[in-house]
Amino acid sequence: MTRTLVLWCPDWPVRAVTHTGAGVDLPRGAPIALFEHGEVRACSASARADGVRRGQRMRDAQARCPDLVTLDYDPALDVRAFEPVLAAVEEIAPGVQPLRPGTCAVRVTGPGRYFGGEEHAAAVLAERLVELGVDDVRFGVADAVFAAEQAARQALPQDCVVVPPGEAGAFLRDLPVGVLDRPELVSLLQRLGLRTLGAFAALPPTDVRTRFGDDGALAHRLARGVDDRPFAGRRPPSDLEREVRFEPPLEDAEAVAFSVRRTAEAFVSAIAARQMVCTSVWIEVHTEQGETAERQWLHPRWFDAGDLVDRVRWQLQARPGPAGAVSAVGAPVSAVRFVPADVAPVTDHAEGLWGSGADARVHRAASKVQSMLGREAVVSAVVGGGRSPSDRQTLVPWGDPLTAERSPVPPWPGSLPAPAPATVYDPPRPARVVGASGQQVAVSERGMVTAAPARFGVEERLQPVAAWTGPWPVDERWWDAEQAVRAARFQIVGVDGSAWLLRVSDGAWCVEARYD
Amino acid sequence: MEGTAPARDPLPTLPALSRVVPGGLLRGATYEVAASLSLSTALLAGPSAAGGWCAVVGVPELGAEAAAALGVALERTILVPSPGEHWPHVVGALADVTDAILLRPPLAVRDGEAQRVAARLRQHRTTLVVLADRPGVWPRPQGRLEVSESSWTGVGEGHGHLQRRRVTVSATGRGGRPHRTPLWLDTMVEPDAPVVTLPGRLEVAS
Repeated sequence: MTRTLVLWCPDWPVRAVTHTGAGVDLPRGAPIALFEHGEVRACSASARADGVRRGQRMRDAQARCPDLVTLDYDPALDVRAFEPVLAAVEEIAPGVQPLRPGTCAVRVTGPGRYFGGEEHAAAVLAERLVELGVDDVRFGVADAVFAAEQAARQALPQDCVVVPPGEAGAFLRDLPVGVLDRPELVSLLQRLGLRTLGAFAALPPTDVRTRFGDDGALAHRLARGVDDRPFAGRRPPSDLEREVRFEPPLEDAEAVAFSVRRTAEAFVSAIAARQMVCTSVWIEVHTEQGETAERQWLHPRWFDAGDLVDRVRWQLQARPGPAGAVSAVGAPVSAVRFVPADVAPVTDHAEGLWGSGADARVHRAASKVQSMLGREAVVSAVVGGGRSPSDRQTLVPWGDPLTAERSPVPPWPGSLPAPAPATVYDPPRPARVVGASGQQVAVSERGMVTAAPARFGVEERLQPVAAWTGPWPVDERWWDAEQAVRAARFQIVGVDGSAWLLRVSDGAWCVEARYD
Repeated sequence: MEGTAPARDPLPTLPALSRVVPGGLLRGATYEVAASLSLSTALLAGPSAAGGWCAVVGVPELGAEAAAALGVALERTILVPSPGEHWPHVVGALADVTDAILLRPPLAVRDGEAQRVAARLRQHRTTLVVLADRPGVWPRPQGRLEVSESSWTGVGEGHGHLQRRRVTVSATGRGGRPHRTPLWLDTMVEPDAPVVTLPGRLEVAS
């Protein structure tokens, strides 16, 4: 009998932002709402207490909660912030299946027995996650994923609701049909007078299929507590799996990577023999102590043998950190196993007439550097809108969608005329600008310079000014007392022919960019 | 791809820059550019505009907008802003897939390190542009380029804005005499008639 434990972190997008994103500096408990297309996508508990709801427009949300902090919703951040949680759960209970960021499922038979009961397993997980700083985490255990998730939603923070075996139907009976998360079906059921899952479940299955189709039939099975969706659709035909054993076990990641090549080739050619390609693979690493570390890898196209060897190497090396670091498994490796997670007919992936090989090679090289230096170390630049040169460019980690932080479309009055500076200092560097008699140059309230700049310097040494222009006032975000910027920009050319973009704000000069 | 001499076929370069180095920039060779990021990125613009991939390693302050204006296709440019001590590995890994790499190495490059990187670049026919804060950072490059004179138009005493920049690029080959080319180098690179410009002299646009 398999049992499923679902782990649910409420308001995950908000947590992701306050722990790793733009909202890190906000005080604890501040009302936060994340917006997507001008509507609330997620909000914190304090915002919800003030009446902010998902789907509200920004103006309505701000009217209900005037000190609401509004941020943009970033789905990539959600996923990324959940990654350490998944890794932590994986350490305790292998085979975790992420359902969506903030929610994941674990088969609980093994851990349940090992930790002496399902509640204990949940308590162990809760303790580990609290160590990670995730304090609001809730658990549900039931026969199947759907019932377990509903149970988790009824649990208190760090607590677990267990639905005894065979009682999922009874547990679900009184829940409203809204929990099915199928808006059209739910609206139809409500209009039919079926307001609870129990009422829906009481309908005969054949009638439900005739009336509501396959998806309706699936929802009906969920409502009855018969969730027969495969736990993690990750077991294509088992004869495609390949394994290599090491006798004696190998300690060095490079040695393992070298030794798995033939197996990787066999794995790829077995799939190719069926006119298929593998686009997603599980790599299981077994250690001498009988531990298993498994990880799913996706490929932008499909895996060849070299790619698989790379993935094995990356999996064995500690993820952030230099190449050749100690194996993340921490023990000699006795076997490596490739399990196809997703295979597709080769015709779906046939290359165009001229092939798309170049880009896949580039992707591999960039990923290799990422595995050496960390994900954020390899970036692409995107030019967007904004007033200062550093605002106008966004660095996106390699592999993320290329979107600029600020759209280039709205007019950006006060942005700088071309040419753009070749060097952009982010953060700006301190500078000094003085007038003819050595006094610091300042800008008055009315936007006039107190003296013509005569000499300037970026570090210590001052050089004479050959030409200058400005001040160009910058009055950014004047509507927001916290973020408002009152400054003025100057372009200054030195006698050596170098040209600089300087900014003065509250009497302090800095260099924003250089035209070199 | 054996031997020490780079392959004798030139890298695609912007037309105005093809005159800077006699014979053009070579694939698999290393060029040192002293302290001008716009000249360095302009060298990448040729291969990038021709459809190749480029990489910029160790230059966190690259102005993306200026690079794009000069013709660097940002969507085909891999940036590794801070490779630290791993720069030889990073350059080695990226040499495989790029046509040109712009690198700012750490202050001191050891001879052996430079040779290993150079051998790898020759093997993959990838051109390396070394951005040097002072001349002589890279041992024995194929050529050294330098902006020897620079003047701006468009800005005066408190009015106007930077518009055009006129530079003289001095290129020195191995054992050769400096070759001086006057250029316009701002949002685009254009040849300029050889004129004598005094260093630092400024012209105010009328």
